[in-house]
Amino acid sequence: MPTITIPLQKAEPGMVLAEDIYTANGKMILCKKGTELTEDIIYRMENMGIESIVIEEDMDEEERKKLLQEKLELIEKAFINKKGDCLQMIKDALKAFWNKKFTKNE
Amino acid sequence: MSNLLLKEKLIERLPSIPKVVHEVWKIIEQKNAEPAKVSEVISKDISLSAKVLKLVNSPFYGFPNRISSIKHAVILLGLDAIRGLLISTVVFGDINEEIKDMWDHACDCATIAGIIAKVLDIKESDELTVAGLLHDMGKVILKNYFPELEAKIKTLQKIENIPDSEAEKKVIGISHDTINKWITEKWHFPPILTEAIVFHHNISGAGKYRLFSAVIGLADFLSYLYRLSPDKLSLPNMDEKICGILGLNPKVMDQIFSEMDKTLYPINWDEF
Repeated sequence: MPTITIPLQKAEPGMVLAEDIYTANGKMILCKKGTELTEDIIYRMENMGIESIVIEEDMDEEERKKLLQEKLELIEKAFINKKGDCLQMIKDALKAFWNKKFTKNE
Repeated sequence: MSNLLLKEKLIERLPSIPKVVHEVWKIIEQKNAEPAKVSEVISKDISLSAKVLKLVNSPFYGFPNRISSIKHAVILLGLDAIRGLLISTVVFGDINEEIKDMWDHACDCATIAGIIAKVLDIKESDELTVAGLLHDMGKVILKNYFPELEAKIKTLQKIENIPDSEAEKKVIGISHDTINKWITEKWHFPPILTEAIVFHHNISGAGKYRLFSAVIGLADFLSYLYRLSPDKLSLPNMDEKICGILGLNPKVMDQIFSEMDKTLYPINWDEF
């Protein structure tokens, strides 16, 4: 599932946390992955000095597929005149990364 | 215009270094420079202090807590990195619409250079971050001080869809690497920043700090690669030796990409 990091100021009720939120000292979990944000939770995080959070990006299957396809096509185009093993490895690694990011249940 | 003439004109048109920045450089260049003295001098200039703090707190350093004092910033970053940050305030000046794209790219590259350093366990990540910020300063100087040449380069680059360096060579006979070199000489950059910046497209030219040139070369390439879009399809030249020098493999690249994606995906550099 694609995730996105946002500054806390942009957090809104209804967004879903994609990563656990820890207290400032990193020792305690403040809020678990999968939690749906409410006004109250956002308010609490503000008070705890949390600056940014990772949330799940709201995107349906079709949108995701389309976005992935676009990314992969752009990569192919950009590499048309590029040669060499090193560049090839980087290209494949990025394609694999986008595949992973935009495929369900990842 | 011959290279020599271009160099003369360019150096002539370089912005003058503000007095405070000059003072700081002088302290840093002394043996056993004292960080306390450096922060004292920077703190005297309120607008410069504000710029430095803004940079230190921007996402490319990713410090978990807000840094609110120059003293703290100097200690955290070290003198070479602070010197680089001061240079960046001179090179970029006030970020206007004209150089906005270059600033965004510089910030991306700074962020990625820091990420690469962390993933590869290179301890000079703050120096590399600054080098990333400054790696294309030659282009910024061209844009700000020779806008007519820069416009020609941009046009040619778009028409022929070639990397910037090639278009630069066709129009002015040299690439921004050479301009970078002139500036680093003129402004007495510390060697670690000089090599990282000047040789990021041509790693073989570097000496002691080859590793750092390789990091910046990779960071530059990855920042264009990450931001590919239908109207931004051209990738810069990247030295093939970089994979060997940095020991890159698919696993390391995956780590770098996921860190990049976490930091860069939502970023709008306007907010910083």
